[in-house]
Amino acid sequence: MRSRIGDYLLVVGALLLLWQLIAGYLNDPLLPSPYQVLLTGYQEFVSGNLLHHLLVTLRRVAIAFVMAMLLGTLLGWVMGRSQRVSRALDPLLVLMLNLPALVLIILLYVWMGLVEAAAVLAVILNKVPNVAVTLREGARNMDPQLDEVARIYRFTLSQKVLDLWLPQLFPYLMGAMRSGLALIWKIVLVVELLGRSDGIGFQLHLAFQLFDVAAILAYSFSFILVVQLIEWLVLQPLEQRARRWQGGVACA
Amino acid sequence: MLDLNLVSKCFQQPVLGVMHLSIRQGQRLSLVGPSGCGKTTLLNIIAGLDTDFEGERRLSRGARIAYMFQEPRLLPWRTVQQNLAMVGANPDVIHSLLNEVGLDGFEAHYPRELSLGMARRAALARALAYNPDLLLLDEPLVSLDPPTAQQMRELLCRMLERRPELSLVLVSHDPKDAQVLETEIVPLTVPDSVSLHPGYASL
Repeated sequence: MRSRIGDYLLVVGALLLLWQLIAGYLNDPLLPSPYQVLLTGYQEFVSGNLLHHLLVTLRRVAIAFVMAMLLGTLLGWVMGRSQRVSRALDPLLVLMLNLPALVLIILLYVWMGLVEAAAVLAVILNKVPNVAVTLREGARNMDPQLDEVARIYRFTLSQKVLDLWLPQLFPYLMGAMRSGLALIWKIVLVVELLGRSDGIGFQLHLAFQLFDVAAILAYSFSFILVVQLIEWLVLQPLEQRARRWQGGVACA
Repeated sequence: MLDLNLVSKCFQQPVLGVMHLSIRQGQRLSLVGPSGCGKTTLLNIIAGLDTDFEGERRLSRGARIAYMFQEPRLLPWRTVQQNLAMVGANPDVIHSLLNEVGLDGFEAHYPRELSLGMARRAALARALAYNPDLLLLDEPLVSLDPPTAQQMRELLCRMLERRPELSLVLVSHDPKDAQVLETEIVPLTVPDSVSLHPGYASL
């Protein structure tokens, strides 16, 4: 554990040093040094801007994430359990998977107007197919032998969900959650840039117009930090708890 | 308790032919025959897992069937205790059952921490924890080394002696098991039609 944190700090430190050296050598406002980025971030934090926009973005990410996971899991589950449903919905799924996020965002803004609902819906619709594909794979790989056990011993629906299905789907859920969090916050920024007047995406838009690279980096890193904290404080403990039955599993 | 009128069961070819089975309370049967004769298939039909056959299966109202599969099939993410609790047993019953099958002290263990023999005994405890009227055993001794198999055989004998009202259907390739457990033997044979298709001969 100790050496893992050590390795982490070592890599981060080396990258920061490299960045500082290149920035110092170029001495160009288009590549600010880590110190300048930190300073900008601090100023934005003190003024309250950073926290305000961060929370706005975080709220959109949270709503889109929860909805996309719920809908995608249900859809993937049904498709994985029933070949007919899977065949029927497969063309739609392929279409949605390959539809560029930008197209969906623009269409929803055009149809619904530049409103919050359109923004969040666009993110949800972008993510649902990914979750569904992952969970369909999980549902297909479930052990039919254990389903027979559930039939013989007449498991209740809640027993089937909590004791039989969720543990088998867990690795797939974890994968969908990890890639989901990363994908969703990136799409949220695009949605904000195109049609919202708050959030980190909107701030990046302003900074872009001013070529304020330090602000762009400060806002980006602040959200990366949040995602990393979610990984450390929520996802990894969850995973370790749920994987106790497998014995000592090294964490990623 | 259970009446089965089987006309036939086919996969690609007929596996089981006309057969009538009637199981009363406390009755003990063994399905004995070479591999490929449809023993497990018949057991699955009796269990109600396989409903895709020609014929009729009638089970008395409220009769409970427990099935000990060839693989232990415990839920790997639940402890032994939790696996038994899943079928509705209370902690006292679980404790005495684990004691009966010689697994006391293993309540908090996960299935992967058990040997095959122990996992099978845990599966037997789970089957009994369900409080069944009819117990189905599919090759309970297969792939155990001789001492472990002997231990399991003795355990099954004791367990059946203590529960005279429990009906049993045992599947085994070994007629000796059927004798040791004092069961009526229902011999199964490989149906004639399972032999090679005539067309193959000319190949």
